[in-house]
Amino acid sequence: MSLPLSPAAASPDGDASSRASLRGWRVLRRSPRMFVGLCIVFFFVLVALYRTFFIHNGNALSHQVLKGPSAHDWLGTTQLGQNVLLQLIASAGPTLLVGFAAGLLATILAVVIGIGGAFLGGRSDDLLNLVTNVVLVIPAVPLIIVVSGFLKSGGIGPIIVIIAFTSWAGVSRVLRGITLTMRNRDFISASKLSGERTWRIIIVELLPNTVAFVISGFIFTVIFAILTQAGLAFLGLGDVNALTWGNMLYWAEVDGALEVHAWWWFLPPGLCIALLGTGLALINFGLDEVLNPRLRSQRAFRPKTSVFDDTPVAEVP
Amino acid sequence: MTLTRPNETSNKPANGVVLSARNVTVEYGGERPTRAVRNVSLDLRRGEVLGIAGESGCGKSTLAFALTRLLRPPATMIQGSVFFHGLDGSDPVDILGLDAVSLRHFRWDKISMVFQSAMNSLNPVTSLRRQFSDIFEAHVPEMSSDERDERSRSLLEMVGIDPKRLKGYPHELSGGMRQRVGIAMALALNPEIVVMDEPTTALDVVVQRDILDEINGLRKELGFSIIFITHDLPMLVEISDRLIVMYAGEIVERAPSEWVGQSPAHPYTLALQDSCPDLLGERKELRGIAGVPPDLRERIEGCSFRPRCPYAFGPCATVHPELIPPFAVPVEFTTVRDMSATVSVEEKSSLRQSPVITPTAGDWRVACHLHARELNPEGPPHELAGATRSGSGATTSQESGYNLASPPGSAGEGQ
Amino acid sequence: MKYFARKCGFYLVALWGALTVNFFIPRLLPGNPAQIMLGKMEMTSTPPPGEYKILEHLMGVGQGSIVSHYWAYLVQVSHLDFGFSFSQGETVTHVIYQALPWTLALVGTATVLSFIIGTTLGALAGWTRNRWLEALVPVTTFLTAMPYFFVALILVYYFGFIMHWLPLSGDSDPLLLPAWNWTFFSSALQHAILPAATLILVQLGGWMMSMRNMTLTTLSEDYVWAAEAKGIKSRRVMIGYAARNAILPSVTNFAISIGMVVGGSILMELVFSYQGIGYYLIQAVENDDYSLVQGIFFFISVAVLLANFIVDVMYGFIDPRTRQTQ
Ligand SMILES: Nc1ncnc2c1ncn2[C@@H]1O[C@H](COP(=O)(O)OP(=O)(O)OP(=O)(O)O)[C@@H](O)[C@H]1O
Ligand code: SF4
Ligand SMILES: [Mg+2]
Repeated sequence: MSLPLSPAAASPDGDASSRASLRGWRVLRRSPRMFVGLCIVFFFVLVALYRTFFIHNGNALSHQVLKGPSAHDWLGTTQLGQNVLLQLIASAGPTLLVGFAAGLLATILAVVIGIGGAFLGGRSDDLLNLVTNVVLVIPAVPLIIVVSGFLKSGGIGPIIVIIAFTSWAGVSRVLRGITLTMRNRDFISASKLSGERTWRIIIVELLPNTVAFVISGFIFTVIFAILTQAGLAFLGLGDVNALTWGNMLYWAEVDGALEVHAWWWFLPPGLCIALLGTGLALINFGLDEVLNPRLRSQRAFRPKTSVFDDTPVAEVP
Repeated sequence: MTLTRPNETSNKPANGVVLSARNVTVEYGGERPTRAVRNVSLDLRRGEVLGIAGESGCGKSTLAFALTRLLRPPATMIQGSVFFHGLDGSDPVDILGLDAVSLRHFRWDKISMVFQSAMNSLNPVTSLRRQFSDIFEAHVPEMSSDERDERSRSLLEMVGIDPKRLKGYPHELSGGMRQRVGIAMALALNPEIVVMDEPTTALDVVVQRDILDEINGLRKELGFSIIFITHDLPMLVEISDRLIVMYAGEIVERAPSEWVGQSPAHPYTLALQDSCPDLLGERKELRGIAGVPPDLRERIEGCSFRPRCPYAFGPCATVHPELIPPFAVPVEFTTVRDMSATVSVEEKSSLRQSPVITPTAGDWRVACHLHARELNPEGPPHELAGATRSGSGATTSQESGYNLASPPGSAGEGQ
Repeated sequence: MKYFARKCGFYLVALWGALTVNFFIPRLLPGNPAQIMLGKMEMTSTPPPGEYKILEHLMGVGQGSIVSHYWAYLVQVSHLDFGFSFSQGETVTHVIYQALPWTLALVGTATVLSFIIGTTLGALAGWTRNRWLEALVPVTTFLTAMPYFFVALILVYYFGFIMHWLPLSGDSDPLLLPAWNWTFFSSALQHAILPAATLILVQLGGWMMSMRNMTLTTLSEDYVWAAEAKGIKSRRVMIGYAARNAILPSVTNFAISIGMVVGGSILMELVFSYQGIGYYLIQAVENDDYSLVQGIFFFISVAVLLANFIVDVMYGFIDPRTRQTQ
């Protein structure tokens, strides 16, 4: 992935209307991309919920070993006779959980440090900004691999925390920039003058106006967390017996799915990760479009030779 | 009363006109399109400063872009024509009909522009030298790089900027300096017309004064014509030869500047004049114009100024007033200052000024319903305005396009 | 100049930050990591004399307070001596010295290529609003949302197991010794094709989308439109005015993405058995070879910081505003 928000979205003229324009269905109508993205994510959430209630053991073994897709086992079986489709469904929940939990934690950090720092200003902002920039340039994934390799603890809890603590900085920086622009706006200055308390201003005035950027940053971290978790699982770090898409890939690799041409075994989990990531990314593109009207389609107006609309007009008789 | 049909109604502009626009109408597209310029016609005479004044949002910039074919989406000109009459005496150029290549050659060479936002109209990441060169490379490819630099330096000097700045970048300049650079760039190719969109608005009074003097000097020296846009009416009265007052996308008054300065004919012009501080420093009591301009996305019934007009009366709500030639109304009737309904007739006549300036062909004043009533208190209002071929107002008068107002008693004569 | 000095200052602070993180990592381990390491080394070979002291310094254990540990660690690192790697049977520095160039060349080339291709496509998409290019967006987004190692798996499966086209693993023919000749070079190139393709494919969408969006945003800037008003040729407006400005955020992103790509390439190297720094890092983590882990993390950090620094300095040149205002 590249970066949280396209910098375009951070353009100051875009965010003024973000609060109003984020409401309701109009957003979806304006951005088909966002609609598709939401559908995909919603689908996976449903799948995750489904397993919570209906699948008790996604790893159940059987004698149907390494069978390709068939009417009975839609996505075939593994080396140990596990049903790939069942595994896939059962893995959706934990994968989403890691993603959303790490995303949430990182977003909270980013909001507190980015918005808080920018709003307080002065020394504390300088310091927080420095910390943010340092964290941003220290390579996160190697650090995550090293730390989780050393921790050796199973379970997804520590992984969530590690991912969150290494991935907040990018979002924090974007939020800081936006807050700084907004801090100088009239309505904030006015509430400062009228002596409202700092935290109140942040919560009542600032947060609602940055909400689209916060959401966008959250989604970015979720994607990052899901990809990173998959990587860690693929390395066998963390609990290899948990069911996540990353672990499915790990077992497929270890048990030689490639050598035996069991494509139905390793393709689906990766594609699921990519599809979920695409859904999340599409939501973010949609947010970009809502925040920055210039990104919306204006094809109808675009002549080939010029940037601008040059269509000569109809003469009046 | 002798009636001369003003030139700007005919399709052949008077001699000495460089730019003539007819029936220009511009809309910003959208679910509910904003009709920002409504059926505007004007002639720019060679060597003159034509001022355009009006409140923020009344469509001044949009009109300027329409005239120069610089409208950006979602704006489209849905009606109108713009012709350029070059000094070389060749055929008039139909600006809207130019193909991409001719348009590129035409731009800046014949008509250039000083943009409202000098801050944003310079490329922030390349040097001024590069930006000047781009202009010359595009239009005068045979110029050598040394010649280009030489010319750029002399242009900078001309507008009062140290030529050493040529190597610098826009962000190193102050707002006033950027504005001057903008003017220097506009003059780079010796254009025949320079459109200046609020070139001094963001600046303090002293710098503003300097730049205005600069512009005036350059015009005298180089002989180009200027369309000068601002919301500062008193300033415009001072610097322009003729001026246009716009309201809600329409021209509400057009006349020689002195004339407008002395006796504004339209209630809006009067209000605008009273709401601006005098450039000479003589501060009047400032009164903002009460109320807000109409929503340009709506269809406007009757007179667009009606909700804010202190003189509004009966027909204003339904009948759309249109421009008429000055000679249709005796000049002493056209000033609006003393037309308050509360002033008695005797007082009015003592207040009335005798005309100081004699109108010439091509000058228009307004046909506000007020004048109709003054002239003929008993008669139906639309008699004078002539705007109403039917009583149902807006539809007809707006879409009928650029219609010659027929002064009283001249209905058949003018045809 | 001031900009340059400020950047130098910042990256020194960042380096110090990375060093400090690296100092605290072994403290996650239970017991005395130096002792554990020495024990493991003795199982396979005789550790070089003085090795235990080095380990103590690196892991921050032994006599004294945490401050003295920290100081000893900094001194040790400043010698660029990370001790002996038992899993590789060589000094840590030597392992890194052998592996790092492979990763740098691969990641560097692939990232730059991907940046150039993606940015060009994005600029074209934004400028022309071309339908075909727009249609590419969902595809590249999908690719971008894939983990690097998964793309690597697919490529290995398809080109290796199905098509039997390219060499599957390693960074050059194991029978060839590194040398500056064509045979070695072409073998290295062949082995790098799939890894490079992975890196390029995954990154492409990000560069394209960001450049497309920035181009669209820039196109409505007044200076682009003013350039058009000046009758400047379309090509020049597109390159000198629109793209020139639109690319700035991408350059900033490029700096930050280097760390991400290095992270992604670690797992990818594992899939291709491409013996770069990531491959050894994973080996080290799996074998609990703490000193190798520490050394590799240090060098990755330094490389990433350096790359960031270079990009930042370049940015100073392409955006004159940074040099002046702050
Ligand atoms: N891009 C746009 N999309 C929609 N409506 C627009 C757009 N630009 C301008 N308008 C509308 O067109 C009308 C005229 O705008 P214009 O910029 O011409 O005003 P102006 O007279 O130049 O004002 P100012 O003195 O503030 O420069 C305004 O009512 C504005 O709301
Ligand atoms: S027509 Fe009526 S409302 Fe309009 S300006 Fe004249 S008096 Fe006022
Ligand atoms: Mg304007």
